[in-house]
Amino acid sequence: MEAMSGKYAIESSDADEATVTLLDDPDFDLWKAGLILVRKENNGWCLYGEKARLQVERVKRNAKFWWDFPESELRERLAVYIDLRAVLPVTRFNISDSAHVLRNDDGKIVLRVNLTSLVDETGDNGRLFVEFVPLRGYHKELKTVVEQLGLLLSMQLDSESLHAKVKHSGFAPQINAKKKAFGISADESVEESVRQMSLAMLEVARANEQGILDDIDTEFLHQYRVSLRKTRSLVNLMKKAFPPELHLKLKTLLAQLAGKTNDLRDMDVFLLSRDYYQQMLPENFNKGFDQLFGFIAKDREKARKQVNASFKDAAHDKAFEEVIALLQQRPVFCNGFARQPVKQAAQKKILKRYQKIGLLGEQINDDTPDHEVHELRIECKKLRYMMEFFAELFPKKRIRDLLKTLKKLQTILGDFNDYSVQKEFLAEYGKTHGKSVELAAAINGLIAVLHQKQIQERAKVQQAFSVFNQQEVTNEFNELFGLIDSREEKA
Amino acid sequence: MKVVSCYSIKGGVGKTATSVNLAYMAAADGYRTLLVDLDPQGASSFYFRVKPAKKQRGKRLINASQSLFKQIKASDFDNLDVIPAHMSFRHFDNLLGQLKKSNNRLSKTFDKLSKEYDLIVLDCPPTISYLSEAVFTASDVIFVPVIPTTLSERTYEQLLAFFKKNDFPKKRIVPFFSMVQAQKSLHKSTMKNMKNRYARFLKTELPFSADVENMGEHRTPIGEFAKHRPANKAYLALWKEMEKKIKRS
Repeated sequence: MEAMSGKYAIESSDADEATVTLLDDPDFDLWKAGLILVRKENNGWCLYGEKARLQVERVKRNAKFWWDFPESELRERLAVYIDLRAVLPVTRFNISDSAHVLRNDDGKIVLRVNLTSLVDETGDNGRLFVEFVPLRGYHKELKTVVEQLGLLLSMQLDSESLHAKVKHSGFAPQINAKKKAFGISADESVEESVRQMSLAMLEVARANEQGILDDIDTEFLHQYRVSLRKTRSLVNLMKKAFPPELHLKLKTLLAQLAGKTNDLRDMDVFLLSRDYYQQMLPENFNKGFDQLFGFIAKDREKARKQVNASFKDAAHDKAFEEVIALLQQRPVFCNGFARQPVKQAAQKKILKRYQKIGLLGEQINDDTPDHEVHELRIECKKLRYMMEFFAELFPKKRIRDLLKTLKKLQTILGDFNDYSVQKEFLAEYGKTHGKSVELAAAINGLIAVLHQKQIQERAKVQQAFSVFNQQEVTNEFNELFGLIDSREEKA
Repeated sequence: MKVVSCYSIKGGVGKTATSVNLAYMAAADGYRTLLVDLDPQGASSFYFRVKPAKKQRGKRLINASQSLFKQIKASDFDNLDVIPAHMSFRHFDNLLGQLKKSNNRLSKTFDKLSKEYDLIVLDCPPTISYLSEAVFTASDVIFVPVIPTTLSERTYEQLLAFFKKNDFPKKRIVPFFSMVQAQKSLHKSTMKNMKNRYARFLKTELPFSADVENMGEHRTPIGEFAKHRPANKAYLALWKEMEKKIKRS
């Protein structure tokens, strides 16, 4: 400070010093949004944004989800950015803030200077940040001081936020970039593409295993399952790309890997939706409701231990390694389909699936049996996966728009299905745990509400399908996935 | 944006101390405040330790508004800026004269001021001059400190007469007692008389106080060095009353 003050007198406040822990979720969602979440030694938390800073005190120990925090703006903001993810310590640093004023001969403040020093946990990397707060009518004094320091414009941070400072101190989190594309090309063979894509998705599944073992949050398991499910779907939808015996092996192994986690995911979904279920029942059902969720929480713990044990079992690694080894083998090109350019094959498959959905959907009215509605849902899901798998081979915006239209129909079909799954789950629970009257009442109450909701959702199906089945949508499907691509012809 | 002035024909009545503390308290309450020191003696500039920029030669009127902006200086307190006393304020009366009229080339200056400030406080020189007439026109409220003595009573009457003669709205004048020594019977009887005759007096009476005199030594508003002293409490009460008047004006 003395170096810059020159002819001015300095007055300094005591430094505000703290060792803080920086936390973020596994995807670094806060960091990516330009936010910094820190926990102080007294268990007070602070979320730093571009300018504002949100604070909460007296947070319970081991808080990691947004719902662990007391009602506050900080909690609301966290909910937006981390959603279902947990925040974990990433690094620690020492932060020290001090404010200084420079006064002229009259004792008038001519410049305010804020100093922030950041030192990382090793103590080796430190940075000092100087913020000049210019005062109206005293720009000359600012200029003099800045010149005295020999500060160059190139050293300026573009933001005064803590995020900018932490970044400038050299903190660079290892963000696993979510791959938006598989990197396949239109002319690559079907077999090669499918092998490559499956391996990429299995890699994601494996990367989530440790998070499941550590029980950090429910998203690790969710992403593990999504990756495996998509791999299975791809392998099954394109099964002709493999010799039958190879396909069977892949299919069996993948089912084995995914199946072990079904129970745990079911419990997770129920526990995450606790508030949603609670508001379905009047207050006098609370006792039974609490019993129900108490049982589910216990069963979840059992299921988690089973998953952990199975992951640690040598057979688990072996199954994974076997699938990966099989997919890494050189392509065998057992038939013409396996050798086909992948874009052409995808077009054909997508269009065929779309046409099948058209035929199925047109037969559906308000009296159609439920299993036919479920069949439509499954076909829609397959179509969605196919379009997403091969999206990079088609114009981005057009695929996105079609997916949007498809998703609207899928939401209704999906909700319709979820209500039956939930009903069945609860009914099964009633049978196995149904000792108390209150519990039975809560379960039956929930089933009744879910049933009503399902009926309401069912009534929307026909209308939703007719929106999806419009001529415009059909035309777009034909144009994008029809084998004779008018654009390419012209080119 | 509201414009208020502290005015008295008579000097040494606590006018500058009132301007300084009023501006300081308004700023502390969140009003973006600009104190304009119109008194060539520059006492309120001195209290805030600001000096005018050097070499301000008399420029043509069109530039007066620009040079006015260049004169604005940040005080040591949030929300409070000061225009220090300066000889070039012989132009300022012209600016003030235009303040209430729209549709002229200076109105832009005041548009700009009104975007930046909620309150402008004018600390006026103790004379009746062409400058004070401009101040009377421009001000929403004119606060007048009155020492409860016979002589002050006379000057207050002179002010009222001047307003009547020149057709200024008398309603804008808000007097209050200043430098009151409660033990003096003359002060007591004068206050009683004047309150009976003029209903517009504010309730708060500023006591005669060494703390106020010490402002000159500390060169800062009284709230900074004598926060818990009676004089500061009186200024706070006065500001609260003034705030109501300003809001209603």
